[in-house]
Amino acid sequence: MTKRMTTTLSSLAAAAVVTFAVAAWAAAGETGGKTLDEARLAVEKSSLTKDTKREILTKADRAVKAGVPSEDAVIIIDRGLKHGADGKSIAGFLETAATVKERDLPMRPVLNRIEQGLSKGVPAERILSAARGLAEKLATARPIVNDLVRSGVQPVPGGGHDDAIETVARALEKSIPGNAIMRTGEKVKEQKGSISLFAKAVDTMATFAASGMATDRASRLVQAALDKGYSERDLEKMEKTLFDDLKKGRSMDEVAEGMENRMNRNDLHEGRGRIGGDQMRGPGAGMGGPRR
Amino acid sequence: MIKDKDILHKLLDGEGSPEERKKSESQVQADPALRKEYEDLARSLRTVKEGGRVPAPAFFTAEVMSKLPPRRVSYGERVREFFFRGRILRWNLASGLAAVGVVIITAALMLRLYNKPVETSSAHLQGESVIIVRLNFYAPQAARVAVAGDFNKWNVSANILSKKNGGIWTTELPLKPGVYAYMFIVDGKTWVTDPRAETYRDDGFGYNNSVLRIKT
Amino acid sequence: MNDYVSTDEYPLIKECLSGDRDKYAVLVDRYKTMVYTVAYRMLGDADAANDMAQESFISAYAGLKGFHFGSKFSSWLYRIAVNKCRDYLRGKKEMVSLDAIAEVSACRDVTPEEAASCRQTEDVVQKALNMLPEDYREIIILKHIEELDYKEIAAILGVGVNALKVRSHRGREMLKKILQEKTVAAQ
Repeated sequence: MTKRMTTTLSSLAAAAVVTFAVAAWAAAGETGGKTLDEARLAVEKSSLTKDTKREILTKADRAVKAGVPSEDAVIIIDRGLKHGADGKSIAGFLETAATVKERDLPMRPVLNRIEQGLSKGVPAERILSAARGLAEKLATARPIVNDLVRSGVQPVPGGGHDDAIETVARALEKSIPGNAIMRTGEKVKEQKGSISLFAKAVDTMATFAASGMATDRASRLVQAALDKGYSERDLEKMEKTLFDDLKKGRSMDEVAEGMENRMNRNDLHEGRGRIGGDQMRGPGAGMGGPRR
Repeated sequence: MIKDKDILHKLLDGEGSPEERKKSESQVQADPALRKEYEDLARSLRTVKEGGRVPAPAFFTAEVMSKLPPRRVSYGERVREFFFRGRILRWNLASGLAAVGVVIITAALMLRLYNKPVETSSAHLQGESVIIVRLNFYAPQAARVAVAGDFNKWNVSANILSKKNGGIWTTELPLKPGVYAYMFIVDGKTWVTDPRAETYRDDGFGYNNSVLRIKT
Repeated sequence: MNDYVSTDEYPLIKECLSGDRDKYAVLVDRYKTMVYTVAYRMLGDADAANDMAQESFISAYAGLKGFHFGSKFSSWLYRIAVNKCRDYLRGKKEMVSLDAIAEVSACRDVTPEEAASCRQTEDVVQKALNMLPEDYREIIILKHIEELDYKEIAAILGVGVNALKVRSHRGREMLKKILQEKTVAAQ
């Protein structure tokens, strides 16, 4: 079987599967499609104290009223009860989500964190502290991003702004100093880049730092990359290189040094303004096709 | 008066043999001035003691644990553990992959099998374009593999993988453009970061999520 | 108040050293009140105390290899906590004004009825402690709140027993005077 045949067959099969898969996926929920009313009932039936129950229900209402999707509220309550989280924490999750939405901060990252914490079995206290911590960092991040847009960095429509706030918050969580983040913003402005380039740059800094690189080294690397006119795609390649090398068993020091050297030699750079650098590798695309 | 005051402090220190203490105590009792001084000192110390222990704030332990530095290990071990070893994510337990038989694939093999968004097809869902992503996970001895991530609200039973020949588990996910964190769950209890992901992200609890990026 | 059983601690610490990070939570939970009390009493500020207490545990974990089996884990923690507090105080440029001292947080978890009297006692205590010089404050806290003996305190602070006694005696005298003035003033 040639590569092309495999991929064509896969396409056909996948196309047939698509509608079903998508529909099924859209309908599925661990809650089994539980409604908010059913979740409320579960709270009432639980063995929590009367006060705690009331608190959870109040916070749930507040969250939904603020705009938190009821599906997420249901998941939080359902998973919370199932995993034995204490009532105060469940109320705390709902309250954190409500607060974030009320303040118009990006809500998805906070919900993701709570939901995965519950699924992973992390102790409720820790989830709550991590969720609240993220909420605070989001609040700190927003003015930084707003200021950048105000001072001339190109905004992007849709969720790009929220993405930027989220990545700045993550970077702050990894102890990337505020100055480094703002410096990165300056560099993006110099390059006449957009907020999404900024978000990518900050994301890369945070990823490097989270993998063990010293925060100042991470900042310098990314800022140098921006100076050289790296695109979002180039930055993604930098991340991939980092993890490839780490997987090969290299130490972080070696990896960082390697990147610094390669950057000086312009190896990582796909070339500014090269057309088609960002294409998805479609089926049968020859060189770029999936390798098996 | 200095010498006498020493007796008071000795008593307050609680040191000395029982006989010595008894002697000092009667000495203090006998002298009204000394006795008053002793009472004053003792009272002030009692006040301080009654102020008592101050309870640590709520979530103190959780916050400390979330701020601990990463464990220092040899870098060979670090890489393996970081990317390949699954953990039972429960507070008091830790377990290696050996228990569930996930084989660590060689670096060379792994590097060629990225879970890149292989566009096997694209479709439209409610006017937005959706890309089907195939995820592969090599676990010949696993009995069950699921994937949980941002795309399914971390539901551990909504996306089950199918076992193919050669011990590779696979599934297809229809995803709108975006960035998604995810992890595999082996046999219902071991969470494993995808070794074939292009990039990774800390999940806020000290574990590494694999990350999928879908472009428009 | 020194009612900590040390017997299971060595195994716990050993497990932490061999990589079972989660076991450290047991130790943190066990000693958090002790460490936080010292920090709070030393610094008189709930937020600073929280930071320094957390940092004490984090430092202890990072330096766990340096713990000598044979000594008490609590003594080791005390030393780290005291040093953190000293560093903090050294770094502060101005004295926290007594009026600005945080809402009496030691009275957080008492019933409303107890709260009034709790607040009163604690308020006075912390204000008085804040007026003592650092080294007197340390010894009063360790001897009369934590109720350690001089030998152990000497091991923790790295100061000779005699010097400690002198500090302790002078500290008490000062404390007595401060408290007497406060009581008079309050009347």
